[in-house]
Amino acid sequence: MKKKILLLCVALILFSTIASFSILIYKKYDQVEIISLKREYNCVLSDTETLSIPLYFSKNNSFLTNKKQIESISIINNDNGFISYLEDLKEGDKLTYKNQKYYEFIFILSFKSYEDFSDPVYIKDAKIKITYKNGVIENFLIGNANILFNSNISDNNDFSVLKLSAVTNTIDEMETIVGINLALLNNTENDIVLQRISTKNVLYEFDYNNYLERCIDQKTKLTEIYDNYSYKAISINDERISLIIEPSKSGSLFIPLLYFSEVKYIDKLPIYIEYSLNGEIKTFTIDDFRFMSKGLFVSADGLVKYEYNYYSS
Amino acid sequence: MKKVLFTAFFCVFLLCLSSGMKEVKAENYRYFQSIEFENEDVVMMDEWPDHQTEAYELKLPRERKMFGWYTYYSCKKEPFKYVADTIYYVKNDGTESIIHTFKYEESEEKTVQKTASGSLKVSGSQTTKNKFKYGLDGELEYEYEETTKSKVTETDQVKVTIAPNSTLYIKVMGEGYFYQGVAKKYFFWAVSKRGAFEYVIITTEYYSIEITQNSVIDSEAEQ
Repeated sequence: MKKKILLLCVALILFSTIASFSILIYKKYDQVEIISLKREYNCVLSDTETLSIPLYFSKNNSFLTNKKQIESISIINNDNGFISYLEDLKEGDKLTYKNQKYYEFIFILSFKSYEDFSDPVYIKDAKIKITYKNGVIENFLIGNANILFNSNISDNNDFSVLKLSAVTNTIDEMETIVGINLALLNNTENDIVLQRISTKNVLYEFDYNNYLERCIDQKTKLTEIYDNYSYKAISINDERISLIIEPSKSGSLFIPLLYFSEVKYIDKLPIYIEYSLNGEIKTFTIDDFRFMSKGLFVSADGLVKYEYNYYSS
Repeated sequence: MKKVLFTAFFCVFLLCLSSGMKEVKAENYRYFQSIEFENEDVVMMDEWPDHQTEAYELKLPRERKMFGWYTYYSCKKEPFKYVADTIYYVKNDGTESIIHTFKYEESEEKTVQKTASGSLKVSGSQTTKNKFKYGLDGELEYEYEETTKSKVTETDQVKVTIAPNSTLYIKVMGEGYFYQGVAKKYFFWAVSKRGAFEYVIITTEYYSIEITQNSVIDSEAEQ
């Protein structure tokens, strides 16, 4: 009898030891689904400004969303990229997409090391590349980025913007910007000749051939004011505007926006103006102003879903 | 296909260094400068004639129920356009141009705005007011994907030069859908809550900048 009890005790101790050891070394197989939104990022960033990139994670307790676990972060594509700094990682609210709950995380990036550029850097099919301290590197598609690093865009006092608004039309069931209303005041004592107004973006550009010397209603259909109007074009003739603004006077114009390959949802746009003053060619940049807002998911050019599998202890 | 009516609301907060700055709060749809319905017969609840709620309640089923709601829509998904009051302005009274930076925070939680009367109530923060109490929300139709609504979004900064003796205005216009009706809640065959409800879903907002010379504004004010 004693022998049986002893054997039972030994078996119990052995089982407990194995069970405890198994619990200690057991690593749980885990999976996180991640959604990134493809969008158009048109920005002018000064050294104090940040770029916010939303990503959606099916779990909010993995290392993927732990700021302390992030070694470095950058915006890249196959040819180009910028190193950035993660200023903050903000957790938003829970949301549901296709019956799956996701947690929103906003990656707030700064680009302090960059000096002032005169032209934006274009990154087609840009990805946010996140390198974690455990060696994991993840890339998530975020759309197209056209970013100008410049802290001194408002140092030009030749002009003041008096009016700035967008004209929107619905094209292929998508409402987007099809032109800009702009009124400028000449602050100088000489004539200013506007020569070029540009987005400096390879996907869409202002149509120099069809500008009007007045502002139009924000909902005007361009097909009603231009004959045989097309929102798309293969290229733009490099003709120049020649709008003269007299000293202390203002000049107004509407300039259409043409899309090259496909129509995109644009909500925010900097505007680059080239003009001549006293025979000198100068530039004036209007900061990236958000003209319209429809919500992140509606405005996204597509969603990209990723899965990340790992073992957690 | 059911259209996704899910949008962003844009608030302008200030990062202002100028003493001439003033924020005008006009976020709730009831305080829009103007609201224009495609259907001219739509009347907002605040302007209903006397006993309109009771008149609409006659359209509810007569049978009492043990628990739950009866609802009746007097109007549903009525398109409207609005002009909000100027949400933000900065006045430069000086003799030199100033470079002003203002900051945008895009938050989608304000896209649905609600009002209730009688014993129906709306909860939420002072600015959002986006939940009907007592379970009424679950009885109503929201033709947008509330589940993909985002609360934390982007922050943008915009630099603008404001000439001397001028004022910068940020103006907002928008579009959305309007819903209105009455509801009764029963608890053990007795009416426990009753009243009218109204809500808007803002689908798009448009922003513009205008800078006007102060002398023009002052003379307009004098008139």
